[in-house]
Amino acid sequence: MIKPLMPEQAEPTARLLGEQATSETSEALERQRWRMWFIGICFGLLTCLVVARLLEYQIIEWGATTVEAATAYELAPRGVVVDRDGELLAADRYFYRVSATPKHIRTDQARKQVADELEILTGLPASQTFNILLNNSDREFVEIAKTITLAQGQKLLDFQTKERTEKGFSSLDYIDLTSIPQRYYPQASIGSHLLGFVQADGRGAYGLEEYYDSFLNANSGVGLLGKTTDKLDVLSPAVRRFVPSMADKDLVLTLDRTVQWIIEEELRNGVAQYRAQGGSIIVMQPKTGAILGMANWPDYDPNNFGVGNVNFERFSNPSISALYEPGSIFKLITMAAALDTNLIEPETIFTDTGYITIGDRIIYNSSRTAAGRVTVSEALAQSLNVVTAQVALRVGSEQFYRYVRRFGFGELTKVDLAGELPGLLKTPGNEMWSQSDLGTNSFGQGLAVTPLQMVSAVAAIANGGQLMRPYIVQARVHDGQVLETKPINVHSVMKPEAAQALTKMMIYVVDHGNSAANVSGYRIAGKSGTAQIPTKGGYLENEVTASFIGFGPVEDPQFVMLVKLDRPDPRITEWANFNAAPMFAQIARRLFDHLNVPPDTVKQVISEASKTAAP
Amino acid sequence: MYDRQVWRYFDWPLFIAVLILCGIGVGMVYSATYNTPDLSDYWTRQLIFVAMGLAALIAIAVFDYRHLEMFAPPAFVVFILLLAAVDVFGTVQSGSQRWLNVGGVLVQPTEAGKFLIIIFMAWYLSWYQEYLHRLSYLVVALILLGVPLYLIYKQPNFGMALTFAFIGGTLILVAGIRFWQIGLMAAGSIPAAFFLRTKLQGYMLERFQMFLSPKDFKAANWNVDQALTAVGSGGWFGNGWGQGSQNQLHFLRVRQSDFIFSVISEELGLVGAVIILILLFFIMWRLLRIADLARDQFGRLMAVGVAAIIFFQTIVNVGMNLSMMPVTGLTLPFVSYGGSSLVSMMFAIGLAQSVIMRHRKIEFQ
Repeated sequence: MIKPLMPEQAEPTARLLGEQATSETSEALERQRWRMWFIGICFGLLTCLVVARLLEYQIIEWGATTVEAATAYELAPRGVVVDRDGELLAADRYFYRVSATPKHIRTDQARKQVADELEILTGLPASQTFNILLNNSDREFVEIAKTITLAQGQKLLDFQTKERTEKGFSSLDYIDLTSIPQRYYPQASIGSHLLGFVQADGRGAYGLEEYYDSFLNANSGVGLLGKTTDKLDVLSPAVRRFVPSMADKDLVLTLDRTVQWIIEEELRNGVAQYRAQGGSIIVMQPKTGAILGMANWPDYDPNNFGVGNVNFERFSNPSISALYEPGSIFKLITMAAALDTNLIEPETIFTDTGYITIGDRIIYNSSRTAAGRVTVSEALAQSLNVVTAQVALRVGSEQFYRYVRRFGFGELTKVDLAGELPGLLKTPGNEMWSQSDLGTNSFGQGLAVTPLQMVSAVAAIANGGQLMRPYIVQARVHDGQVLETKPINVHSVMKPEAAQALTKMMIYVVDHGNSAANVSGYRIAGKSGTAQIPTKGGYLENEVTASFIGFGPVEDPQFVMLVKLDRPDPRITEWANFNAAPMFAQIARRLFDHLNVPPDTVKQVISEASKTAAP
Repeated sequence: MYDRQVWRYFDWPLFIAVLILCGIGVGMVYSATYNTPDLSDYWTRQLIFVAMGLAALIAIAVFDYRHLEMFAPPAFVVFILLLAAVDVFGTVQSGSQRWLNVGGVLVQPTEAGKFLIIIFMAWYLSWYQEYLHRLSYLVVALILLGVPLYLIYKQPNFGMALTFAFIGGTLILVAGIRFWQIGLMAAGSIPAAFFLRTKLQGYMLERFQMFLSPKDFKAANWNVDQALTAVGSGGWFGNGWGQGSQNQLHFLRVRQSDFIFSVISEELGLVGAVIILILLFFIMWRLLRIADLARDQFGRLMAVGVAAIIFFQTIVNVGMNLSMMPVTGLTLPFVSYGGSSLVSMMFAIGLAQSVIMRHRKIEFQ
């Protein structure tokens, strides 16, 4: 067999450009072309494999990985919370997280250089950084510092940019900064129970942060549901200082920071003065149900909620989740039921014999005395248990509990705060209920309510018998739209005349019984209560909840307020008349000042002046 | 040398496919970086790189590729010397000795070296085409490939070494290696593989192990996991441009370069990702067509080499994003952020254009 042209003979000498390959046989060329296209087909097949993998991940297993992706929400920005005057209560502050890719920082020399540069730029201790880098040298990601300030971070970024422009790379190329939002409460502990806080995982906990968690979260997709929204210009210029924020999911509260500050200060002073274990004060607008202030002691700083041993109990808001026996202030509800059913009038006379037997229980007055023949107004002023029980008997258990329920006891007020409890109420039909409970319930023992329920019930009396749903968020702002909260009238609990009569009785109480609650120049309606605290072993002597609830000025109530002290020291005074009532007066005086409510005498002068000027 | 007539055969479909990919690249770099303060100008930089790349593409297309034959051997020698210089005097950056400081500017010889190796291997294999069936010429080819490969591997730059090996291997295969030679090489590679196993540098071995059994390397796999999460959340049409949560929330590192394919998959979905792949495959097909039509062996092998490099980088990069391949740091051609990689890719397309523009032996006026 004769071989074709041997390569040796085809010595490639002095070939011209492009004139090579003249000796190429067609067979060799064919083989080459075939191989080339074979490789092309291999490329195509491998590409198909990649597409198949894409199909698997993106279509077949779609959603399988989105659970992990959901962790992205953790770092979502949140909207701001401001009070009715636009004072900032909660906002995001940005910090930088410093992380590194230690895998790419390979030598001790490089690690030391990075650590030193970081110390100079941000003050992070070099030895610590060095150890982190060394101990994680096989990793792609390690966190060096959770938060550094924006200023420090900017210094680091500037340094990186400078080096990169000068040298084309930076010695800190493998250091990364990620901006991280962190919740900040500029007012520190003010309104802490109302606001709640944001956990490390980015979820809101307690209070508004929990209740409005989805709304505040900029990435949640929750927007405004109402059909009637307004433009941003319905908000006052003061409110629009911080609203809308970057996150564009903001809350404007009904809360008045000054009111909140006043009641927190007075509560702190009161608790100290009467050596109480704690307390709550709630201020609400009776006509709308808007909460102006809600203070609890002890409180906490939501900026530092997790330092040391975290006692979760202190985070829940006692105003809506602490159940207590209200005591004598609950007599108002008994009276309301009797007045509304026309069974009594303020001047109706009862005879107090010092005790009364209801079911299997004998009820005494707290003073253990008998007052004889008294009007119900006088009985309320002296807080006579016996007369109140007589009134309850006259009303009858069925009607009595209907009124108790109508005032909202045993049910959630549906305030827009997380963690509300409905209270405890035994009613006829319940196995645990007995006739004697009617007697004790009539003066507020043997049932448990929340402070907010008590406030909202008395607000209904101040509001001519209309029960309003309490609320704290005045407006939600998102996407250039404002959704204002419209006050919700839950239902009518009593006739306006009955409410008026009861108000008169409450004025009488302040004038003759709880005179410590008086504010000169203003007419106040109210009632005090000193309730024994139930324990497993029964009621304890000397352990009481002292409270005063009232509203003013009577002609045009601007607020209803509850002052409640837990276990005031009996060696000072356990009687609400001498601790909660004067606290009420002190706070009411300051609130009238702040809310610009003119004294009744001034109002009279004004109205008379306008009468004479009119014709 | 310049001839207006040659523009008749300028491969417009190839050029337009490259332009579209570059455009998508700029858009995705924007999406990946616009909300990161220190990276927010990257998309404008990428735009400038595209302009520079286009200039390089046109310039090299105008240049007659056949002149490169003369430059190939001396350029190869210079390249080897540069690599040796890096080995001896090089600047250590991020643990690798890849950079050469030339008057204050850092140069990475290997990036341009990819194309130098194509030109040189094409020259050698075409020049000695007739002798290639002899084992000695083949061995010389392997040695010539092996020297830069070893130097790059030593830097260490594993990804680049693999790229060189793939380009060289493809060219040798296409140039007309006999099957018995392949068999011999396969037989030789078995002991070599065992040898390499002991000599493979630690981090490479780890990357391979990580790839083979990802669950044991949870921490090191962080970015790969994040990339998969991004890909997985894409669905048919993705979350929309600028809407990927993995991307926008910076869960992905180097998302503008190595992991840009994840960003595309997340934001543009399967459809977007497949369009990218189809465009890249279209480019490879046009390059193989150029190789088929080339008038000489040198041009043919160059075009195959360019196709091979684009294919290899695509498959390794996409494979890495889908955790089918170990993490190597190779970019996605034309799409990933980065000046040197983009400009050199455009340069390579220019080479192929130069070949197709001159594929007719005689040009009738």
